[in-house]
Amino acid sequence: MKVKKGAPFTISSFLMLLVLAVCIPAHEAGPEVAEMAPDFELKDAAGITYRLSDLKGQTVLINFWASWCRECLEEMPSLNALYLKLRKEGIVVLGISIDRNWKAVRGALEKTPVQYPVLLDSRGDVFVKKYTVIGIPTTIVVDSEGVIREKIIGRFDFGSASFIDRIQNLSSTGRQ
Amino acid sequence: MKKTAIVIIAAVLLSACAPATFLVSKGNRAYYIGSRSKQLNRLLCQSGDMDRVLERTDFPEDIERSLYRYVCTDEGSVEKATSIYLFLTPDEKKELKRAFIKEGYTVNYVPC
Repeated sequence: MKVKKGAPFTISSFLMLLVLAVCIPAHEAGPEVAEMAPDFELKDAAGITYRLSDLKGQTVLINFWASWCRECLEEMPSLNALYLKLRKEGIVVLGISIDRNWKAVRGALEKTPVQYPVLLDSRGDVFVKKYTVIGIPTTIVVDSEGVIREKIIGRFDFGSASFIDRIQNLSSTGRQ
Repeated sequence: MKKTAIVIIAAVLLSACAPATFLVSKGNRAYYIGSRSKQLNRLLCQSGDMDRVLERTDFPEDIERSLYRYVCTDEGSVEKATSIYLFLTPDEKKELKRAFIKEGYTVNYVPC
């Protein structure tokens, strides 16, 4: 690799950027585990409004995704399978797309169909302002009291036995 | 020696999977976008560079307003600015990078 003398992006500046990247300050983040999940309301493609506060008493998995996010689409089948397996136990999954319009969402869902409700946050009101998500996909597990119990950043296998156990325990605890 | 250091730091970065970061650099200095650094504010905001960057883009008004708000006002926030960058579509990200480059900046986004 040729490095021009006096190039603005030197090895030392690359190192500096890497160090800065590792040491990002943790303050000013969105809500953390054990904090209350901020309430929101968003619509699905049929115009039906979903409010998180209306789902109190149920365990809710909020999955942030986008049609252009390969990892999001890769994990969606396992999330859908989890939803189909546990919906009778009162577990709710809400997919929140950050695409700009329904056309993009529909295109993605044609290739990766899901049965859980998919909502659109095209202005970033939930993604940026309320939850300040800093990785995509991100899935937030909210218990029956509205408290965040898990935050999963990056592609995840929702079909793993240990995860299904955790969600079922959370759901049964909420019902007691 | 330098190569070894790069490999070690990159390995730490990749294995730790730090949260996504959004950095800009100009004149051999790098800043977290959204940090409340006075130097960054002078460089990017008071100079009018951020206004010019946003003028060069064709983002929806909401996004432009949020970007300015979380980068150049008292509400400046590294996390919020990073979140907005992540919220941008791939084409919008390219557009923003191009706009920064035209104003003499380098943009580095490190995803988790």
